[in-house]
Amino acid sequence: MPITKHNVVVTHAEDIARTVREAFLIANSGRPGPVLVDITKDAQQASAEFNWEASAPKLPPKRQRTNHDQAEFDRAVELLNTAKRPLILAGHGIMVSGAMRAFEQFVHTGNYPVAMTLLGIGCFPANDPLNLGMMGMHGEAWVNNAIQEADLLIAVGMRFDDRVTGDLRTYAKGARKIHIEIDRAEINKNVKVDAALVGDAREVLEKLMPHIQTRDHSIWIRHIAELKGDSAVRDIQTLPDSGHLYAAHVINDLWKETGGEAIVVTDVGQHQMWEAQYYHHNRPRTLITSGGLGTMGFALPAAIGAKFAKPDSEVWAVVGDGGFQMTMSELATIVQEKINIKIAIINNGYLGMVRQWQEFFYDKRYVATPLVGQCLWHPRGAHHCARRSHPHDPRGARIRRNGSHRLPCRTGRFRLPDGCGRSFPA
Amino acid sequence: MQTLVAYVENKPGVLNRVSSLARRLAINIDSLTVGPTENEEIARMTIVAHTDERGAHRLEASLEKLVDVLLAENISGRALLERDLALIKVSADQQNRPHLMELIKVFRARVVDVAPESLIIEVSGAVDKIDGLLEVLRPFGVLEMARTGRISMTRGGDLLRPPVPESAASELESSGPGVK
Repeated sequence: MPITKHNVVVTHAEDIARTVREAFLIANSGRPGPVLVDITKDAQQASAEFNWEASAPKLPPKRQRTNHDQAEFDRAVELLNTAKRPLILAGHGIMVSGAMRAFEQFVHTGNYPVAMTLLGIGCFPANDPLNLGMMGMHGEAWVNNAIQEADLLIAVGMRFDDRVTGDLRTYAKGARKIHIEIDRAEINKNVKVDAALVGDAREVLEKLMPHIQTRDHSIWIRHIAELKGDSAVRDIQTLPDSGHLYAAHVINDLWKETGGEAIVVTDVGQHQMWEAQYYHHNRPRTLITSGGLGTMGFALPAAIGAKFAKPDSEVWAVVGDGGFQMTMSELATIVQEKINIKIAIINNGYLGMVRQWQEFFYDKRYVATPLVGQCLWHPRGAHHCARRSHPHDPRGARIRRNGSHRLPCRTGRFRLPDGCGRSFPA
Repeated sequence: MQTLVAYVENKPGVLNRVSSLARRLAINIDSLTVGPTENEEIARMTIVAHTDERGAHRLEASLEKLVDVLLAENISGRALLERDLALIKVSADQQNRPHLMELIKVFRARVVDVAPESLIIEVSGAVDKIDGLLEVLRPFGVLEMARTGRISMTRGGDLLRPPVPESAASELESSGPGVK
């Protein structure tokens, strides 16, 4: 069974060029996704003439749908201009369609607070006062409370994934919903919406812009600030020094020392959520993470790709001690190709995200999650290896060293006070 | 029960993609018929699925995401012509044969094969009609039966045509209406 957007088998060498061009077209169009091109051994070994014109893509003609009717559009405008407590749910689609500027304009015109999905991080500057940060299971409680209290949710380029909504029976019951989404199959799939604007996020936002009235939502925004309360003050970083190093310290230092300018590639697990919470991304595509089709072992190979695509950017792979062990061969590739990637291993001695679920939902039966006998300290594949296990260990010097290096961080294990080692806000 | 029509590329593997999709969405297909259209590169499917309107929307939208599907549309609730064809082999001896022939006439079915002990009856029409005939034939002894599954078409000016490639579309415009 294919798990890609599309897949093709090529049996003749003369079809390879056209098929590969078609594959790129399909992968990049609409809602993007990978295309598997399976070239048979026969076709690989045969030879054929290559001609650019003759290999032009020949895809079946598709029905051009009119995306949404005027009535739907008018309803959306009406909802936008009458809402008292609007809130935007910003997703990856904003970046995919290159709608960052249009989105910023849209947000500032209507004065809508913005909550982001994991993959939406970066689509809107983290330092903008209207940016609430990440929502959902691993977002801050006050952000989710704001969503529950909103009277209008404007979902842009996101799909109401269960990590975002939680229990659908109780999700944002008091809110009308507008869904701006390129994939028709996502409309009314998880959450029933009041107005669906099917299309490219940038096109839809630009079409909406002239109809949006500038509105003052200061009462609502103040209310959200009240919901937020002193949660920033209770943050793990501001706790009195207990001598333990927490992942939040490491991520926050990484953010400070890189000036928030690095491309951060994360693996899957608790460190991924800590990164999303403590590294503040102001620019799009500076957080590379695997989202819904998440898989451990993603970070290191993806970081290699990111470095090749952006050779002048500083690339950090933030990896858990579990996922890191799945990418030993990529370490060899890094050495072989002399790739300048920095790796922070957030080592808490567990498959932490799985452990977290065992803790909450499976009666604390920790099966197969403790990791023992690791050898993360051996500097195989790294020019430098710096270890940090205490908050007072010098931070900047190690993070700032040039060349490829790893920064294993032995963070607090789970015998720490409640909430300190979990990837949701305390 | 929801009826969808899809135009698909007439090539290997397409049926698998369509049926796999229904399986992934956990939608049970009641009948699925495929046949070529006037354009041999394009086949037309009629899919009758056990689902509600919401399921049909998902099926329709997801079908149209497949590269090989040119168009998919839920036509349930529109003015439709629906046809199903059945071949029914029924046991028939000298005594009950006249009675059988009378029933066949009432249902506007046809006898297409005659043997000493049996008949093959061909009947086409809406599903209800075939089900009705089957009901009255059952006491005689239905020996074997084959049904095509439904094909559907919207009535009158409600056209559902496959999209044409862009170059062909401009040709169509320049040569005026009525030309393929």
